[in-house]
Amino acid sequence: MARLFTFLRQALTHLRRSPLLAGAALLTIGVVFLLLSVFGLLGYNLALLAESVGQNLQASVFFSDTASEAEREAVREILRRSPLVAGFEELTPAQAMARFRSRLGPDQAILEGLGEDWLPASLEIRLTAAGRDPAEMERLAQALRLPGVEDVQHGQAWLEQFDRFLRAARLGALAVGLLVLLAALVIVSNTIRLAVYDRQDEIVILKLVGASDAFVKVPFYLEGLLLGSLGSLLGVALAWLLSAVVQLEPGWLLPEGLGALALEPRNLPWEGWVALLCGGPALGVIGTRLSLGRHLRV
Amino acid sequence: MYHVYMNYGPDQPVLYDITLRIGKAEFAFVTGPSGAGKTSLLRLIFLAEPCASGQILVAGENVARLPESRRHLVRRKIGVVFQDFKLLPLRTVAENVAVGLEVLGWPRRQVRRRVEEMLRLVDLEHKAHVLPARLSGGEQQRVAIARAMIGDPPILLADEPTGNLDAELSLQIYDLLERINARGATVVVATHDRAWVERTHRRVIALERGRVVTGGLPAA
Ligand SMILES: Nc1ncnc2c1ncn2[C@@H]1O[C@H](COP(=O)(O)OP(=O)(O)OP(=O)(O)O)[C@@H](O)[C@H]1O
Ligand SMILES: [Mg+2]
Repeated sequence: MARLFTFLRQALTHLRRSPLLAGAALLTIGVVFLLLSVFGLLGYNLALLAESVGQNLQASVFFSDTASEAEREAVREILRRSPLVAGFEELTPAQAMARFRSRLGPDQAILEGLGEDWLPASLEIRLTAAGRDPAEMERLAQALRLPGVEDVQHGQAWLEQFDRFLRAARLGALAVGLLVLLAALVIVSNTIRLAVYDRQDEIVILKLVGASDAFVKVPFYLEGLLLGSLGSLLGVALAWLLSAVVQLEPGWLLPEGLGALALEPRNLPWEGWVALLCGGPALGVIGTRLSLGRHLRV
Repeated sequence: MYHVYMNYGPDQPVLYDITLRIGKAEFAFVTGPSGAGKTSLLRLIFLAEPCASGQILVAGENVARLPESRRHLVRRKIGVVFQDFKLLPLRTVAENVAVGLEVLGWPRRQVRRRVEEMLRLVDLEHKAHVLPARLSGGEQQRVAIARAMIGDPPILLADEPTGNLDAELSLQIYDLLERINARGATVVVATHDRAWVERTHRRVIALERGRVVTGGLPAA
């Protein structure tokens, strides 16, 4: 234990001996982890958004003006049996108009002059989780296109697009994240490699007086560990601060329009932060491992 | 104790067909003119150089084919006083001497006590916290000797251990070497200090241009 402490002090001394190099490495790692944290935050919030959109998924059936009661009942019957349907509500043209008005809010003036029965009678359907599957939903929509039904609308096409966007965003973030991580790895590994060259004579002497490989390597691992830990601490702390600020003042960073989506920025769960923080030491150790490979032969 | 038989050369051969045997607890000098290969011979023994062919036995272990991962175990049995000292420039005298024990995994407190003892022995207590660059050649040499001897190795190789020392200090150093030898350690000293070699009546292995001239095998 005391020995580890000695090693740690040595590692610190060594890092201080080349402050520019260590500083640059630290800064790079910090930026990398800031980026990774921001990606994590965005991804987490997008996933939450997708989930809430999926939960509020609706479909509507619009009846033609001439639809008979029997025709309407046939539609209701299908809905009652479908596993995709959580429930439905029938709206008269007047009710539909009232709901539309309230949704438009201050813009309802544009409806001025339209009759109360301007909108068709309709059924608003709340979907179950199974209703998220576009293929299933399309099949239900086909079944519902009976005589007396003017149109069936569902948000699947839009949802699919959103899903595709999410997937692409996730893939992009993953690719950029990996690239950035790789860059950090190269930086750490190069920093340690330079330190090894710098201390080549010392390493040779230590080995000649009987030092084991581990004895020679541990200080370098500690240096890598230190760089990685401090760097990730720096980046993650910054991201955490950023996230806290955005939560306090959502309008500060988000474009105006997005507020209407009821987007409520949420912080990562603590497990996420811990995982990000652990990434630093891991990066340091792997980077050191890469550079120590074959340099210590004596 | 060692049974050395080798042919050695990086680009140009340096040692030719050397066969010699140094017994356990023996005290032997390796002599020869400058460039004869004394240092090279010692470097073979403490595994700083590979041999081109032949066998080298150190403490019963054939080190010629020893895997890298086990070399340090053999080196720990050998204390070396390097001709060029090989002190760590950024560590103090005390730290340099301590390294000899730290690599063996000794606990810190015992290391400190032993280092004090050792520095007293080579008359350097007053320079314990000085960096090697601030020392005279002879002082650096004594640090190197202290580091080599601190772990009480069963084998001690000393390459010109008195090269930079005056007669009185040399006497002290040889006294030290004699004492560690009396405790059962094998001591091999490379030197061209004829006066000393003749006075001590110890075994002499004479090298000349990479060959053993006399003393390869112990006098029967
Ligand atoms: N690393 C090396 N690479 C190539 N040749 C070397 C190397 N070290 C020594 N030599 C050569 O090996 C020969 C023997 O050198 P060595 O250092 O063993 O001599 P020495 O007997 O110790 O001499 P001295 O008394 O001056 O210390 C010399 O001719 C030298 O040029
Ligand atoms: Mg020499």
